Amino acid sequence: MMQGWQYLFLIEGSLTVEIALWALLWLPRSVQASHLFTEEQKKCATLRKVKESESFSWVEGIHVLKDWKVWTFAFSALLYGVGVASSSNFLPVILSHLTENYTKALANIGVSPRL
Amino acid sequence: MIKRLTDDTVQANLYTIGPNLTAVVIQLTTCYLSDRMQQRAWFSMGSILVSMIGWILLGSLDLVNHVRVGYFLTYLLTFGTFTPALLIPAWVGVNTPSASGRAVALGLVSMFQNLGGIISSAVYRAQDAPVYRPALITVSVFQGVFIVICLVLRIKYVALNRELADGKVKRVEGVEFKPGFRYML
Repeated sequence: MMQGWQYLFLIEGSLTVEIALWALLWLPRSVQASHLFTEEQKKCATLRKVKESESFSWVEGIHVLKDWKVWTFAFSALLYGVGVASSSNFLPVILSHLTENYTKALANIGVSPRL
Repeated sequence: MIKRLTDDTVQANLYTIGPNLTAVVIQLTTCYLSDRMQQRAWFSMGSILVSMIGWILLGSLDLVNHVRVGYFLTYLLTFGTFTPALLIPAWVGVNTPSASGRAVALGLVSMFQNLGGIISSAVYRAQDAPVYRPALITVSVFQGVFIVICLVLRIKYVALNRELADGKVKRVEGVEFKPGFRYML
């Protein structure tokens, strides 16, 4: 018999797998095959791809590290990253001490705890 | 982690489904509008501000007696917390003209976001349970600084665009053949 949290892993994991399969079948194979772009945009994308087809250049890559704006963007990522990780990892923990009261309150206002 | 989440874990997790599903809709709308209006900074700052209010109130209110308020706050919190994680990479990517530079810049951003995750797991200490007030305050302070930094970047790019418009700066490396080039704000 599986534990409750094991079911959670299965449910949350299966959603990811499902979306991956859906993406594989539904997403267009290329920009050209997509219906979301105009002919002009498709042409532009093709030209850009030709222009940028050169392989990765370390010189160009390292060059952006001399730009303070890139580091500022990176620092801002650290700042919002704390919230992102907190929300995805600790929201259940933050909520758990209120769970009992939640059940009561939600039953009162007629909201299904499962949405 | 799993050991710490005990019996009511399943229930607590189920309660996160509501805010998270609503947040999906809000985030898609925010990103769509941001694309539509070609504005990154305002949308990042606005969404972080909404979630920052959620974090601050979650840490400062007496939620045991105001359960519905507490649950509403978790909605507020998920509305904006994740949005900059989508907008900032889009912003830095479009303002870095070379493909190799973009790869490095995006790698750097992603690395720093994960470093934020390390800070996050360090501030939720067992002795602060069950409210984790220091952690909630830490998150909101970080988000406050984020808003300032975002504003600084926007002001810088507005200035750069003005120089481009006035013709003071003639060429931007990597986009020499696009005279109408302007930075994303």
